[in-house]
Amino acid sequence: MLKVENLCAGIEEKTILQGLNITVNPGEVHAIMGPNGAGKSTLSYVLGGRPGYEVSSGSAELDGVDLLDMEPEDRAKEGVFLAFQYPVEVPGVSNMEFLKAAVESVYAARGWDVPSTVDFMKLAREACAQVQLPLDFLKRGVNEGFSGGERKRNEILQMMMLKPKLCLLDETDSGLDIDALQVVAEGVNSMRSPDRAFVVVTHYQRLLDYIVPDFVHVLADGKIVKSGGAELALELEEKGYGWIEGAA
Amino acid sequence: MAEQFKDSASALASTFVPSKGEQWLSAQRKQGSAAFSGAAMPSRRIEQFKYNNFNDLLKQNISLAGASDQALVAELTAEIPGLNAHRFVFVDGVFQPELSSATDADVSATAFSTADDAQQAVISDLLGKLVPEGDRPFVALADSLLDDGVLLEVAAGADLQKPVQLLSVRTTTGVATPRLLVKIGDGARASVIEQYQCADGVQAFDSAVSELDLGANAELHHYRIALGNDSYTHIGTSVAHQGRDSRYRAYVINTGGAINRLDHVVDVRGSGSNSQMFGAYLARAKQQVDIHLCVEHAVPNCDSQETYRGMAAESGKAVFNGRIQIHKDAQKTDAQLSCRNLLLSNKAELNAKPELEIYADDVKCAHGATVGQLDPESIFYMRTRGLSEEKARALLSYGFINEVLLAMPLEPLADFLRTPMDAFFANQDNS
Ligand SMILES: Nc1ncnc2c1ncn2[C@@H]1O[C@H](COP(=O)(O)OP(=O)(O)O)[C@@H](O)[C@H]1O
Ligand SMILES: [Mg+2]
Repeated sequence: MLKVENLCAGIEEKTILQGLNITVNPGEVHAIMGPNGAGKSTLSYVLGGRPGYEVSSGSAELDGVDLLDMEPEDRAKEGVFLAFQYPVEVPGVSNMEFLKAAVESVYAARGWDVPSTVDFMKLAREACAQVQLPLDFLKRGVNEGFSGGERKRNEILQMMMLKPKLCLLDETDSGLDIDALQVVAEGVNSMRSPDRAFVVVTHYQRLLDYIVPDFVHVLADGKIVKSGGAELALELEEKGYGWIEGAA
Repeated sequence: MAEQFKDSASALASTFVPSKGEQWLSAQRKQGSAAFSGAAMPSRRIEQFKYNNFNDLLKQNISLAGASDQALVAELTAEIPGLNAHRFVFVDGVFQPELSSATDADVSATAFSTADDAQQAVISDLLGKLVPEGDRPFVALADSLLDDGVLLEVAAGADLQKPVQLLSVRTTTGVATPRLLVKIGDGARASVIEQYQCADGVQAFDSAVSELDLGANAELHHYRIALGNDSYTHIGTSVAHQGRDSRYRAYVINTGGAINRLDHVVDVRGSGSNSQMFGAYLARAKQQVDIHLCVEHAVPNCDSQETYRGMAAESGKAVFNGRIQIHKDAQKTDAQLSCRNLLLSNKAELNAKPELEIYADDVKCAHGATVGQLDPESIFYMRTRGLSEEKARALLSYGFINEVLLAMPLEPLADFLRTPMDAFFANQDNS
């Protein structure tokens, strides 16, 4: 589904990703772990198409379609979803208005029926209940005055509504208490399916107790320096990142 | 150039006959003519007009509004869904009793031309009296061409369940001077919508004056809405005069307009009063919008909060001037002014200036004005959800202004306003 080859990218002259490779097949969950500053968010942003990031070489394809030349909205329409490490406030635009505009755009592009207003409201309320946000959050400004945990749940809510092929979650667990972590994990687990894949970026092993990955990769100095199964996360938890960086 | 405007307007005033032939206000008209003759016309050298360009107006030969276009009247006076208001309608400057609601014991509207002796006394007492001294050429012009205005009275103690809509529409070129007097009795509560609109492409010019008098312990929600287009010049003066322990809420919307200007005076004359003003002003294309707010705190123990949002896109010009005067006796005043602006193109202009003048020593005041651009991170966030860059920009701009609409208790009116707002944000060329 996702194929990233030898990706080198950076921002403002600074090279951050230095030849990154990763292949994700449909149905799989990959965890990317690594120390602060390793380039995890950079990878998410480059795949999401954030302006300002310069790709100097390499490729990233979604089901054979080159992502790197696309506008961010076109990637979303291809089925990429990026859950932000720091979701942004959009004051004055209600969650409902924002979600509706997003759903209309993405569903139309993917050839799905755009739900009627009534159906849309029903779906939105269901998703809201599933991430355990009170219904009045749909009326509030996007992330406006939301706590850190509420913002992350709101990201999962959006992901549920948009039904992406590839979900990139950038430290969705950071700043969450254990209850919120479980809610987020349940949201992700409920969406696992044979034709959808997840890349879960995290700094801590804790999230992976709830979202059990098929593969764990360690990102350090802009590349994947080690890959393994779920047990690698436990090893990292125990020994820290030092031993791997040393090895790389 | 200014002479063209001034001479033609003066000539109009000298031969002016009010549409209903009413004579008892001719002294007011004479006074207006004299004041207009003596007034300096707007120019860049005059502080209050510095940021506007009046050239297009000043080179015009002013004529009176001609016969109205009935098809446009019907279109522009369509009811706002769900608003369910008492309605009083002006067409091209003249009050239209046949388009207006019946009145009842709690609220009455009287055309100046049909006022009986007692009502004439009320009107004479108020008319022009609330407007503070100072150079006001457009008020003088409105006085000199004073036509059939309306006196709206809300009875003391009344708690109006329905809002009152004073709708003024323009369907033809020329000058109109819609005139309003609003008297909110002691202890009464009311929502009054003062709304100005003009058919697209009609080169209309308004010099509109409204005076609102709040009795002791009265509460008025004043919606002051001027929806402009490229051809409409609307210059308005609105004065609210607050009695003791009164509460005044203003929701001011100025969109578009060849010139769309409001001089808004809030004259706090009764202690224990509260004033809250929310406003939005938006210009695109070559439009000019302007809000000059002046809050006069003359008495002790009052507070006021002012929240404004402005936006200039394309080659638009937006001006906000927010003056808060705290007079010597106005101890314990608490005044907070916040004004945030979006400048969306290099060709647009935005001037936002708060002015605090404080002559009392025991007061709390704060003001802030900012001018910024749309946040790139927010745009990216929205695009990752499938919204085009243009849609993301439009939605962000809408959200910025929507904060003012969300403050309005009258939701049907806020909904009605979202349509022109959406159109305003769509398809901008800010290159
Ligand atoms: N806007 C930026 N300009 C310059 N350097 C940046 C910028 N954003 C991130 N970096 C740097 O790039 C590196 C990788 O950052 P990031 O991808 O955020 O790491 P992670 O998410 O793994 O903690 C860090 O050294 C960081 O300081
Ligand atoms: Mg990060």
